[in-house]
Amino acid sequence: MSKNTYDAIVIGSGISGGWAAKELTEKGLKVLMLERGQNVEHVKDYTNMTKNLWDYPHHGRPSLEQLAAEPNMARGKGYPFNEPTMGAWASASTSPYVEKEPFQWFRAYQVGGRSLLWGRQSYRLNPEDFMANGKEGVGVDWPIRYEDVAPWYSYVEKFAGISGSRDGLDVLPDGEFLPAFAFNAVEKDLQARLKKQYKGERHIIMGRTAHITEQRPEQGRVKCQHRDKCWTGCPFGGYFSTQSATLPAALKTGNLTLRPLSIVKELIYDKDTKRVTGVEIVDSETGLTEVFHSKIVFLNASALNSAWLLMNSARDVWDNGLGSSSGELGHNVMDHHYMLGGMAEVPGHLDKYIYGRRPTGFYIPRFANWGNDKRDFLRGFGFQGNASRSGFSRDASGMGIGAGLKDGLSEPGPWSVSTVGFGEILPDHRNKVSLNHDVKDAWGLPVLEMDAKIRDNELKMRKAMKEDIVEMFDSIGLKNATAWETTYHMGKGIHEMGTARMGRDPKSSVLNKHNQVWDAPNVFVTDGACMTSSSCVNPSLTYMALTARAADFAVEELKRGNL
Amino acid sequence: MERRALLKLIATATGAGLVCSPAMAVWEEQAPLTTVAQSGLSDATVALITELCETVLPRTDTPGAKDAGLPTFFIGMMREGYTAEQQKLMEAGFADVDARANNQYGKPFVSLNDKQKTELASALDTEALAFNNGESTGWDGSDYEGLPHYFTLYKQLMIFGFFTSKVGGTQVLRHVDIPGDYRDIEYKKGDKAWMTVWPL
Repeated sequence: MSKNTYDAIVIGSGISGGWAAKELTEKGLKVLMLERGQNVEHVKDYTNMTKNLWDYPHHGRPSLEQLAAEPNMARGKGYPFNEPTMGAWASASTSPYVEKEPFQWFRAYQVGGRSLLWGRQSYRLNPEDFMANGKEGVGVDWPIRYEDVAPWYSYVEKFAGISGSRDGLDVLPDGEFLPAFAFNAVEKDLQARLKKQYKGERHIIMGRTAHITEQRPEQGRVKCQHRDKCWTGCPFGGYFSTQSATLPAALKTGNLTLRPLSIVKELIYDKDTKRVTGVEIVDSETGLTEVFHSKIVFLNASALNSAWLLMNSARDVWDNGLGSSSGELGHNVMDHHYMLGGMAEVPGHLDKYIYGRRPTGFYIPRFANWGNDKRDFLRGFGFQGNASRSGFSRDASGMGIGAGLKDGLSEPGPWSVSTVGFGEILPDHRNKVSLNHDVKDAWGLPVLEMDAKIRDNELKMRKAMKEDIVEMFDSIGLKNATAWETTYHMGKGIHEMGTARMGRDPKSSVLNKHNQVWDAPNVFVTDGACMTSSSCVNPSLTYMALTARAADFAVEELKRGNL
Repeated sequence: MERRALLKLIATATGAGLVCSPAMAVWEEQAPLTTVAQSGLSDATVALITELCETVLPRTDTPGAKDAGLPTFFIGMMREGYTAEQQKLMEAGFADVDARANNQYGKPFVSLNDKQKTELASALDTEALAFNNGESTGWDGSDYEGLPHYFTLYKQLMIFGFFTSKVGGTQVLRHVDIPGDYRDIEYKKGDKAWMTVWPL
């Protein structure tokens, strides 16, 4: 094999890229993993992992100058952008994008990508999620069904380590779970009351989370220590990330070459064989370009950047790039709409408090448009939440000043319950990203232009989400239930999906049922770009399962000589 | 953020090869907070802020504002976390506090005894609530359209800075770096609240 030739190239090192590298190397392929950002070594490079708020100059809050430097992320109090995570999100100063419609894009340009910064909620799509588009005539039908993915969900759950309870709900299929995190006493009480009030049709379950709750010495991982500092990197490997799980497994095979600082500019397409033969990168440090060749390519650059790379490839054959023959490349942008929820006071329980910082909350799975529940919109939503006693940040306006104020705030306040809703966004051809050649990034490459927004179905759903949560809280005896809502822009859910969707027909989809680009079957796209619909559950577990499934297929196809 | 972004921009603008140094951490080391010396405040104002902080969050059987280094944080954060207009209001407030002290007690705030300091600050706290509710008070505020009473900004910043300081977080509140698990515990009045690990 010549120096720059591999069996497979994986583009991106986040959740799905890490899985692609692990699966392909374990099956014996020589793999090159390209990552546009710098390397992050597990533990060694987690510079903030042991810090507390007082160790940050502004005690964790971004200063006005820091906010002004990143207006895209800072807008609407973007919760992920703060001093503990500062620097771990890509800067629009070097990697700009154009907003035709407001779009908040949180990108992590480093080895590990957003696997280091994710919310870790891990849910399976349900059988209905894979059928709803077809039944309702929305977008295109998924080319696969739940049964196709179920064994792969099991496969990735076992390796990644997903904690959760087996709840037996149709709407949220059970998986291969490690022991769930614990409810507190108040949450248990709410759970029982909700179940009774809604006769077993609405549920509070423990969030299913990619944290190990049992020791895993074979992976070099220590169970979650309840520090809740996940976004600074976990020295225990308590949560699933590329660094804690897939990368060490891939490196162990001896088949992986990892090349950070490698921005893939273009997939090199051979129109005679209708195959991609390799990639051209620009080294982000030296600015020099280099070409690498492989038999297959796994594109895992995250939904929007994978679409960007396809659009920037094979332009001599198709004006809008590789995979654009369907007219759907870059279209059908989805996310989960949120930035709304409800809260209520929970009277009593003042003899109870909590020890430890649980890195997840409870989950109220979808109930709208499920079973006998019918709405004036399609699909549904879920709520993440928790019950807790307030801390020093509670309203102190009536507590005066002096010793009384200090002593008062040094004790916990009353219990309250707080939730945030996440709703499904329908695929809509009008929601798109495209290349903008007038604006260039720091490496002279064209950038993405975002033109996507939520529409009637989502707006109706948002109204229902607010009404439902208040009604639920009222009905189970909580006090002063109120809904809250702040501005949601597409992208803010950090669940971008759909820009190279899977389908049954090359005329209306970019990928086939094995995540192969119809126009270049040796290219597999297995990140969020492939999603045909968005469901309302957090999507990363599905990317893991689809990646493992596609990698298995790819290796079989290579053996059969089909690629 | 600033430093890396700047380096990248310089490299791009000058055509230098080095766009991004891998030696730099992903999670960035940040520049220290503006110091008292850099704040441009007079010694008298710094002394006033120090006494105000201690009056709002005094040492009792647990540490107070001075023990926690709150005045220094307050000054740095005022400069870096507040708009020019908010800062103008906060500085006007310092003059107002001293004017009231002189008016009521015939000396500046720092020269009052503890009882007088508490009296004055309590009155301001009560007045701030009324002012924020739209009532007419001793603070005019018409030069600062849309902003609350200055004392409200002081109190919010003092509470945040104090309870997120090391002394506040570990000696006035409770903190365990590595809890190990999550469980219900009994609570009785007087038990401390836990320190938070995420910015509020």
